[in-house]
Amino acid sequence: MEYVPESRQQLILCCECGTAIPPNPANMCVNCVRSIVDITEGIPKQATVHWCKNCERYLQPPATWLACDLESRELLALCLKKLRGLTKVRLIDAGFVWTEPHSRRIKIKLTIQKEVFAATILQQAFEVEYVVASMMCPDCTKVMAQNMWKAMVQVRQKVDHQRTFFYLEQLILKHNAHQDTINIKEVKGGLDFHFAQRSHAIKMCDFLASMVPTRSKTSEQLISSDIHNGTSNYKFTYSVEIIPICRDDLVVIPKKTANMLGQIAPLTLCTRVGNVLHVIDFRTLQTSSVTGFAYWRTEDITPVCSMRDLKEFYVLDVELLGPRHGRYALADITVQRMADVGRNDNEFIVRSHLGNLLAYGDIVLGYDLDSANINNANFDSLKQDDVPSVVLVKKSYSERRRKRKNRNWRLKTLDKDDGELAPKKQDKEKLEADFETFLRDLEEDPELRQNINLYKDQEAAQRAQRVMDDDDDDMADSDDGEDAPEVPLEELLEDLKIGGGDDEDDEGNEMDMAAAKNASKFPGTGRSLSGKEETNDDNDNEYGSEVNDGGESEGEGEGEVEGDYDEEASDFGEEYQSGSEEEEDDYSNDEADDDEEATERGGSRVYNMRPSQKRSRDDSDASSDDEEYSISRRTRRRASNPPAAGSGEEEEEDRENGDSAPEDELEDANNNEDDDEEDVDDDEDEN
Amino acid sequence: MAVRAQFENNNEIGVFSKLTNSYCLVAIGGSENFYSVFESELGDVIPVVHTSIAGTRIIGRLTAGNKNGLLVPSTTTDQELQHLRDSLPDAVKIRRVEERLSALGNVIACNDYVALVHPDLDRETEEIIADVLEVEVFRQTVADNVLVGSYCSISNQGGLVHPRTSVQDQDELSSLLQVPLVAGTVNRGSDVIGAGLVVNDWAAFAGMDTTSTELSVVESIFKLQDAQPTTIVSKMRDALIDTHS
Repeated sequence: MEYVPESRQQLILCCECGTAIPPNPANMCVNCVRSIVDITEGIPKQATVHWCKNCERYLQPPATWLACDLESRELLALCLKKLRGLTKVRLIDAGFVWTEPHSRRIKIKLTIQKEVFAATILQQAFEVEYVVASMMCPDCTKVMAQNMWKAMVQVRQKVDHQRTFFYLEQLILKHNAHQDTINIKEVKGGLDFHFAQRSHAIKMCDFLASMVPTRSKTSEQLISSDIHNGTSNYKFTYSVEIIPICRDDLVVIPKKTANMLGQIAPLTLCTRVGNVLHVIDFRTLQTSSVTGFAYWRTEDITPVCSMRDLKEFYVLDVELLGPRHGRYALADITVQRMADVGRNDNEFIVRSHLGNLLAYGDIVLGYDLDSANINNANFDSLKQDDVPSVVLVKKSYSERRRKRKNRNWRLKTLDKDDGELAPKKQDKEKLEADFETFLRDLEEDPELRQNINLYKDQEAAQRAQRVMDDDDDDMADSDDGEDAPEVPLEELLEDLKIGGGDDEDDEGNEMDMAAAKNASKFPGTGRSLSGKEETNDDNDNEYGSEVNDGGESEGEGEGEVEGDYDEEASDFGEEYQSGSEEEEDDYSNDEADDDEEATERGGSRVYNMRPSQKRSRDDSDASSDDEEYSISRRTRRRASNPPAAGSGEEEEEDRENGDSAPEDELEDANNNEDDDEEDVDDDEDEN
Repeated sequence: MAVRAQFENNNEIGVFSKLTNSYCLVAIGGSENFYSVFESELGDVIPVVHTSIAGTRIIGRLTAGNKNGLLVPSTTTDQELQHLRDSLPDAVKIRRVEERLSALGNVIACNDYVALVHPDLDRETEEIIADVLEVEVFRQTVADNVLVGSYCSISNQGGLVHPRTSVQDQDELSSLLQVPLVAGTVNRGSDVIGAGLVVNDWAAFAGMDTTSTELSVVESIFKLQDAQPTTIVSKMRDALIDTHS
């Protein structure tokens, strides 16, 4: 026989209520301890958090604004900092209790510990409710009150077209130089950039100076001054003037200046405008570059003919002379005015740098100096022998080959404020013509487009299809020359589109994450201007279509959405191997911009939601346990987690589980409701 | 009867008083309220002696005793000793003890027949205890505490021990003392029983914080419900009448 010690638990009576309990440090039953002391005393059960509804950031006192998702770790930290009494207790656990996103309430469940009597630690769980009060953050206030700027950069170019600004706009977008602007205003002859801080304006000036030759002038205006402590409040204006010479302009350089620029001929063509001006002597292929400094010193280098003076000529003969310089080759080219073709035999023999671009039968654009009316003192002082009758500038491509509908790429635009000046009709046409010219330049010149971002145009494919159907025969017979230059597909970027819009219902979690990342990367810029943006989706203007609001951070454009990619693949080329069959099926059939909240697709429900306002409930949380430790972040069940409706196996499982299937459905219904309500809420917000 | 008392806003009345079946010591300098609680319960039966030990008021922790005798630490002044000899009944033997563990009340818990003592107590002291108090002496611990006097309180009727005393220990102690024991608390959950409670065969005094639950435990284990100084006499008379009738 072995001795087994008795291990009876000795019991004592609770000193308050007389219940038999095992002895504990307080020698009191838990209920009595609870009834005597409340360790949550001194911790407020209700608090207010401030939230800016424009940028959807939360105020972290005293003055920080944080962008955080609902039920995120950051928001939890922010909420906990709001509770004053938490320093006196030990926080064991904190987590969100689900609330409706639009209820403007955040509930947090806290578990705290505190020593109550000698050596007695009591743990208690309780809920704190936060009221989300809306309060506009100072940044948004500045944006809203548009004259809150402190510094302004006025960019001007004294030319009669807008092409430089189109290019500049793309450069700004590419380099995200507009990040700090609070407003961009279109004025006659240029753009005004408004900034909240002087340093931002200086940065912008520097950016512009690094991109194009500029001259800038600073002026300041005293707003107020405090004589007692010697501070004063100024507004700063930086006037930035861009060199008034553009690509393809015919430039006259006075002899003295020409000598300084490497003895170049007085009559040259501008080939490129970078941070210096590149000119070429079209008769010798001699090149030279004019810095902004050199230009502004004398300011006597003047354009005599520009884009608008270009005339078309017909190439009759090309005789290469031998010298080459880069892509240029010197040649004697026999041309005839387009208007003269078939009428008379007025031919010109022109020495030109376009020798290896032109061939018999091509159409070339050039300046007809014989018939041009030029008012320029420098030009007049040139010897008449030195002035050729025709200057060829660039090759022209058949008009019909370059239907705008066929363009498979597009550009982004800045979100500009037109100001008071609503363009007149002819102005608008002019503007569009300028933009078209700019786009053609981009197509023809890879050097030009290497500095900017071009994006794939999702709708181009469909348009191309339509055009194909419409005039199939037309296309066939018009093959008279070589193809017009096109932008190769490799150069195009995928566009990421986010918004409460129409066709983004198929993005998965990764996209939300990308959006969130971008949002957090650029907290200063508004990120929910969505909804404004697809106003002109349907018209065929590449310029306007798919305009992502310019104020958007650039990062939003950089990401990649698988769905779009696959779609492109099916349309644009065989060289693309689409990622997976199933996906292609999924994505190729729609695009009809389905506005429904949820579409049934391949057995999985897909929900449409705003990335910033996502609130979700996982299925597993249907049985959510209150004792759940760890900061939990619930994510909505998505397409990746298909419900029972799909495969037979799962159905079986559900039958085994018995009650889980109805629960799922219930959950779906709930989610649907949530979404509906959410959308209503969105609308309200926008209003 | 079990009553509540407080010594100058302090609930640990066992520190400031010592109660046996034949005398009661209380510390000097307390409020009259404290003394009147004792005197109203005990005044006409046993002497309530106001005293200090070694100039301090923590007499309950420094002394140990029962109806047969009183042990005081070596630090007790002659004057105090004389005062005690004058005040206590002649039958009570008083003895100064040369003991390293001078807080005798903390290291000795006794009723009129048995004493539990600190395991490290001197052998000589043990002999003195057995002689003066006329008890059997056992070296014991209560709930693994060596300060047996602090963590338990016993009378000839029963005993209250530290709440963490295991059932086996309770059984063992109970068999040594030959009285029923219970684990419990005084002063709203305090486990220092000896400091919160003084008890003899018919009266008990507990700190003012003691809840009614605790007081009822005390009353039941010490059998104080109908306990009067005369109860024992009437019980004996009843028994006599029974046997002779």
